[in-house]
Amino acid sequence: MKLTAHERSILAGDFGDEARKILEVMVKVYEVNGARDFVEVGEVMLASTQNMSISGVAGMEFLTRLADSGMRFRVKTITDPVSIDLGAWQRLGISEEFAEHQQKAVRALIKMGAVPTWTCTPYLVGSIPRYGDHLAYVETSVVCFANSYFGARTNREMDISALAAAFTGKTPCYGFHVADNREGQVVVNLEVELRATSDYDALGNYVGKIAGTRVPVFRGMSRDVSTQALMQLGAALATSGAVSLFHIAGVTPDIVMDPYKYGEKSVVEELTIGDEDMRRAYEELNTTRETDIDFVALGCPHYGFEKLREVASFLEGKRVREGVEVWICTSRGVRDMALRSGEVKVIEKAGAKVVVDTCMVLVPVKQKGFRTMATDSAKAQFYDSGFGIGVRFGSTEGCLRAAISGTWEG
Amino acid sequence: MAEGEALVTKQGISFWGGVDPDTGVITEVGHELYGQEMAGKGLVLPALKGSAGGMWIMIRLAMNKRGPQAIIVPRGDTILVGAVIMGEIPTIDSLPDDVFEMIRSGDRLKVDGTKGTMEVLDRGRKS
Repeated sequence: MKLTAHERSILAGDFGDEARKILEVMVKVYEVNGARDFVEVGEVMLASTQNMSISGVAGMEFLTRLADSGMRFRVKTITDPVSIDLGAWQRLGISEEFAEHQQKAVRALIKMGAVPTWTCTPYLVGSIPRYGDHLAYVETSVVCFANSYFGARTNREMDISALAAAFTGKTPCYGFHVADNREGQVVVNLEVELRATSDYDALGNYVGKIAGTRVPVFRGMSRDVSTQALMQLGAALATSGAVSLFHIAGVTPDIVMDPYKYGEKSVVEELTIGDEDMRRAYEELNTTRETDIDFVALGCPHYGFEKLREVASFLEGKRVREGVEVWICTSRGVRDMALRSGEVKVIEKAGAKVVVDTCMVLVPVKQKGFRTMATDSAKAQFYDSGFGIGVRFGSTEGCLRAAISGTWEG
Repeated sequence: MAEGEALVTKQGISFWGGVDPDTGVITEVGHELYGQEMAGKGLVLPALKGSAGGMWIMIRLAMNKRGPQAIIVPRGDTILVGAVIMGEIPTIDSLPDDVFEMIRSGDRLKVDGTKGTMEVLDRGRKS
């Protein structure tokens, strides 16, 4: 294993226990996965250590000690959302102590050189890898999107291995960094017309369970499929299974360049999705029969601009029902554009909140006492039902209708 | 070195979102271990699943003594490596794929994470 003098010095503990452990993890990950070399990474994405609702005070203290020990990022390092809206946390009912801890973690990351993106759709605000770029990303939906949509190469990292990549500029070469491990394995023939973005959530959720860690290949998808729809598909595949890469015949770059290698050579299973499967896919995502909705949460992963425009156009001149909390989650960058063009004003005037830096999965919503949530995201459905909230899953429009009436009609 | 009662599942566990970070109770709706506690147990499972945030939930559970006493999986993955080194959790990660057929919930296990060895001390009541 080729390590630099600087890396050996970190391993020897010269930069403290935290940094030493991080490099120990890098070495162990290299060994466990049988890597034979390192590759240089173009970009790193961190996700959970900065998140109060995931790593708690332990994570915040860990980052603070790292920053104080003089560790700095050597490559561009972007950041997943945190557990508060950094500019307006009071509005989401967050306690002052929680917010202060969260701000400390944020300050530590910025001190080490992080780009404060705080979003799970960083590719919409400037993080655009090129085909074949090696990355070390943590956020699973972005892993899936970067591998599939851009043809970049990243494994499903966790924060410690990603921090190692950020500090060293390299990552062990194994898994999805190697072209031969990117061949499609499970063919999914679509005999169904996909329309709403939530159709892609339902499809991804259904296929993810079957694919597990394998690489699905979609056949029969329209070449006009929107970027937003593929964001939803990737997030759902990565949540219900552990999918890190998918191919779409005629659409995504690996398979367009080499249809045989990525679409046929290593296929071991083939399935067909019809209307009945899609009906079942929607049904599986509805974990309650309750029809009284008190929380509507959209934008998982963080909505792109088109979705904000769609929401604003529906809500214009309408009013969210008393007692229903409505969150439209997006990145600060996209929100600022929609502030200029007026969508934010329309959405907020209707009584909904445009939420940035965080979302319905990362704010500790359990403590807010919501009983039944409506969402158009399979990923949000998974996490929020894990927090004990009943979830209704449906189209964006169906969720917005529930926001106005307080009742789920599908 | 750790000793404890086995808690066995054939289904993957998502620690972030599927396990309560304060109590170690499995909260994923529909999971075969739904509602069960993992504190002090030797957790035998096919793989971790879901978000990489699961690593931090495992570290926090270990710090608060609400996590599994040991983890037994057929093969380690990156998320597990992070959790185990950071949380100092004894782990066996080189076993046959059907290890969860050989151990039953309630069996008493002795695990040596450093040597990578595991012993079934006593067959439990439940099958």
